[in-house]
Amino acid sequence: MLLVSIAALGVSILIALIRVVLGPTAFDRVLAVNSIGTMIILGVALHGFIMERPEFIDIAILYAILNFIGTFAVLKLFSTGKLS
Amino acid sequence: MFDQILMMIALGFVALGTLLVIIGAFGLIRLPDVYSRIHAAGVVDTGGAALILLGCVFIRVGIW
Repeated sequence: MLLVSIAALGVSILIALIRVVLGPTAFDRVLAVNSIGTMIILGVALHGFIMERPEFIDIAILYAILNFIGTFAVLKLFSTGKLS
Repeated sequence: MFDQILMMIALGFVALGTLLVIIGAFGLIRLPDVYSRIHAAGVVDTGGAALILLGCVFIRVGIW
């Protein structure tokens, strides 16, 4: 049952990847990459609970922090042209 | 008995969250405007993530 959920998350990642490839503006690409990051976080958490090792939720939280900071870094690069 | 009830609740939450993630992904590719796509990504980020992680909480309670 949880494996079906992980397979559905994989299909959703592929669908969002289409928007990354053919998005008209850069903001569509940033948005789709952020959504792919969220789906991967959910996949990592569910994988940890399937393998009966719930410590994987820490790795999911770390990936969430990296997703957040990375999105803001890319948007600041779009806004000002530099990161400093 | 009690563990099976908790597992059923957890699987219900995970299934509902997966449904919201699929709906958000289809909205991300089908909607016509940038702001509409932001709405679809918000569905993924709030509904899908919150429900799937709540289902993980109930799985953890069932393991205990």
